[in-house]
Amino acid sequence: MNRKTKTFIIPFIIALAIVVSGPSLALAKLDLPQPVGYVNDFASLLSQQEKNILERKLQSYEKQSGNEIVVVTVRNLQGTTVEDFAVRLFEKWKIGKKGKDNGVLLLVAKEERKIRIEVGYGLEPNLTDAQSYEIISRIISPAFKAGNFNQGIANGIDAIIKTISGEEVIPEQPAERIGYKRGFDISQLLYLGFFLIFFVFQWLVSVLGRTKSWWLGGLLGGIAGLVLMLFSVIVGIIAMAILVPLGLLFDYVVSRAYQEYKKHRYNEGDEEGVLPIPWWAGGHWGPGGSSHGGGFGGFGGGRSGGGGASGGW
Amino acid sequence: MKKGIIGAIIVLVILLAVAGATIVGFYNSFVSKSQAVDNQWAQVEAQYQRRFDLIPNLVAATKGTLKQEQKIFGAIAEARTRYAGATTMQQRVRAANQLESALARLLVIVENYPQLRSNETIQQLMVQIEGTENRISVERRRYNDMVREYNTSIKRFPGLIFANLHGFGEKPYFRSEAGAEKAPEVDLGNE
Repeated sequence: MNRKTKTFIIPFIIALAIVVSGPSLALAKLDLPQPVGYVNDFASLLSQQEKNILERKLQSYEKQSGNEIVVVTVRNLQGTTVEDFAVRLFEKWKIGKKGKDNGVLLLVAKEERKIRIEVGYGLEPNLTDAQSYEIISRIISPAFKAGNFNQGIANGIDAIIKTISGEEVIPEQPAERIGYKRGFDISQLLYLGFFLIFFVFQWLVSVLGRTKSWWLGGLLGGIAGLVLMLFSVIVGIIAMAILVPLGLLFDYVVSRAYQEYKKHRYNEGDEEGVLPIPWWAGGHWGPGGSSHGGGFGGFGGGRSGGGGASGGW
Repeated sequence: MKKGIIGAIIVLVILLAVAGATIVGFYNSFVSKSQAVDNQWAQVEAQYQRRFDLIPNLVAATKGTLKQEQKIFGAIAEARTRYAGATTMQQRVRAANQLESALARLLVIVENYPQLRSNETIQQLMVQIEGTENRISVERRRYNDMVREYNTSIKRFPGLIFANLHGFGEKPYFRSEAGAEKAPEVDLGNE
């Protein structure tokens, strides 16, 4: 009887969890690449040597200032404007530190011959639209017109760094490096909560059922209540009042069920003996983890809001 | 027999706990999503304000040269007054759209005057205003994305049930005025 209810309830909760979490909204119409570092030369405009120099420079600049300056060259803009492409790439890569939003993106589109400097919210006062425009029109564009992409980008980055400097130094905070992992929202937390409930439930069944006693569940309930009392006495007392009888009841039921089960001894004997590994926690539909490749750790979680300037060559 | 009743009670208690957690979870997620939408709208309005602050400078810098274009300055002034006097979000959006098209016309006019275009101050102002326009469009797109997320979450099963229960209503998308997307026409020389 109770085995039946148990085998019924777990799939039910799982089904509920799946319905609740649902598929997340897919918005991406643009096929945005993953970052490979501070220098992302997808359009192959730079020489290998220049790439290495720039990468080192931007890395050490990030170390000493905290600001994340990223260079991206793309073959084309996939039909959108350079402004739109830049802000979406910025959104996806989260350039700059979380909360400080101190990132800058220098985007170059080869086919459209467009340049954009996209400035994170936090650097807007240091690198204004007018300054970004000057950097593009006076430094980057002329070099590009002459076909000298290495020089244009190198000098442009130097100018960006010089323009920004003078601000207070923000030390690196590794703890804040969240990369481009999606943040937890409420539904994911809820999802996680369900997992926890299954896990604890299954574990309790296996442990409490195995012991013939029926008092251990009550004891566990009491301990949980005591722990809660550390945070709030009233909540703890209420929790104890509920959890102790519930624990006793629970232990009693599962212990009886287990004895019953042992008596009848189903043929599938392998279910017994070891602490069951929760089969539903196989992971393939677990809460969305981060997925990125290439060994680059990602940026710090910064945001931009369309600040900066655009130009062409 | 007794065992069955006890089992049923336990199942019921667990179900109630799960249902309670679900309701709280949905309620909180609606609140935070709705809050995010309102926040994002504040961002849009902040950028509107930034645009307003820039316009007087551009007007002052170009008015002298553009003696024949007084109509456009009148339109800008009118839209600004309307925006300042707007009480509802809808009125404000309409006034902002109006201002946007008047401003776009002014920018095109300025582009057509070589003596203005080569003026450094005006050049800088133009860059700033273009930057602001871009910021506005970014924040507006994010606003619409958030509204979409919120509206989808309150309309999708099973959220739908809780949304109705707690009175979470649909939020409006930002829509620019019809014709705002096409480049403004400028009639030079007349008037």
